[in-house]
Amino acid sequence: METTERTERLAGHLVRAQSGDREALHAIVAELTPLLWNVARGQGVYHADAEDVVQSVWLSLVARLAHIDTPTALIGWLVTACRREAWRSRSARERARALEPDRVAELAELNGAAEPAGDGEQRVLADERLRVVRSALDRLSPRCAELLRMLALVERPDYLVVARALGMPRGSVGPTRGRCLAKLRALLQADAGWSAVCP
Amino acid sequence: MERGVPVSDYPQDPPEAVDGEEQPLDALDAAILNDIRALYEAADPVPAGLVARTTFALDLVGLEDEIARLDPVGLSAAGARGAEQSRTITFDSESLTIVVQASPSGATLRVDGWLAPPGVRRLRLRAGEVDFPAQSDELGRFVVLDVPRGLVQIVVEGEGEGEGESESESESEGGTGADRARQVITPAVVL
Repeated sequence: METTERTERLAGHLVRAQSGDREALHAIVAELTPLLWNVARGQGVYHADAEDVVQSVWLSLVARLAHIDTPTALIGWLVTACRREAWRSRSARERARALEPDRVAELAELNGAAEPAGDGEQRVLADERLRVVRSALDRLSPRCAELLRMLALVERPDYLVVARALGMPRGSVGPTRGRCLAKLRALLQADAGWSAVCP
Repeated sequence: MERGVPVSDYPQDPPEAVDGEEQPLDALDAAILNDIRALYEAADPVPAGLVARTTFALDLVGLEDEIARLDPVGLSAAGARGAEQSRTITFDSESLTIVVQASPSGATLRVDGWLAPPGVRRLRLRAGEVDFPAQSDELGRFVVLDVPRGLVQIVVEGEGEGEGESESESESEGGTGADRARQVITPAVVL
């Protein structure tokens, strides 16, 4: 239901953004930046770098906007572009680390980029129930955890396009999501600190 | 049931390929996904200024413009953010590399820049509401003084524009819309 509303909202923004309405473009940015942030972080980009990755994706969208017709296509394009930018950012860091390990570590620290994705999540969570979810996710494969992180942000039909943009082979999205969720569900149900709050 | 509809953007996929769509999520699955979303919102939230920074950066981007990327490794901070030392930032685009060094000068910043390949180009440095016009010299160097700290973006005008009227034959005056020469635009960074 929420997705339908979002899809309709995005479809309206998209049409107006294509005709040059900057406010509509800003509304799209506000709506979908959380998804892109999670894609970049889920791909292992440093916190400080992830901001630039997300911004680059949005800047490069402008040239493509005219060719994107539906909210689903928009989300698919954004996630694909974000993944590519994330890869670029990560490999730049890795190359530099190989060449000048000390300097890069020092610069990363100075730029507040010392935490790779994941470490930031170790911060103490005030909410006990989220702590339980965190530790259950840690026991899944990284692939599963990443997929669930993304799929928690989008609903059908968009999760298919997101999963595909993240490199999941066609046909395996549904079963994989099912498996990952079932595993997580079993872990959570076995934990006294978690009980479902049904939406 | 509803399958086929969601994949209209991928006409190459037969509807049968969209498996898993039929596996419905029950209320418990939905509750779990809500918790995952809440977890990441709490543990790894979107940085507060990111949307504002992005919309600021998008202001002047035209269809034809070239986007420069910030090189994460070209970032060199002689001190932590906000410290009284200079910072160097490198942006790369298809045709141009822009290196910027920001040094504190009183309450504001002095920004020294270099373009590579070098050449005379008109450019502007956007700092919040204020535009600072500048021009690089034959060696690609430029300087902007009294730049306030905060969000900054650099826009380098299309080649030829910095070299005077004689060179710009086909460019229509004013430089708006599609016939504007291709600008190189950097992301917005906090200096």
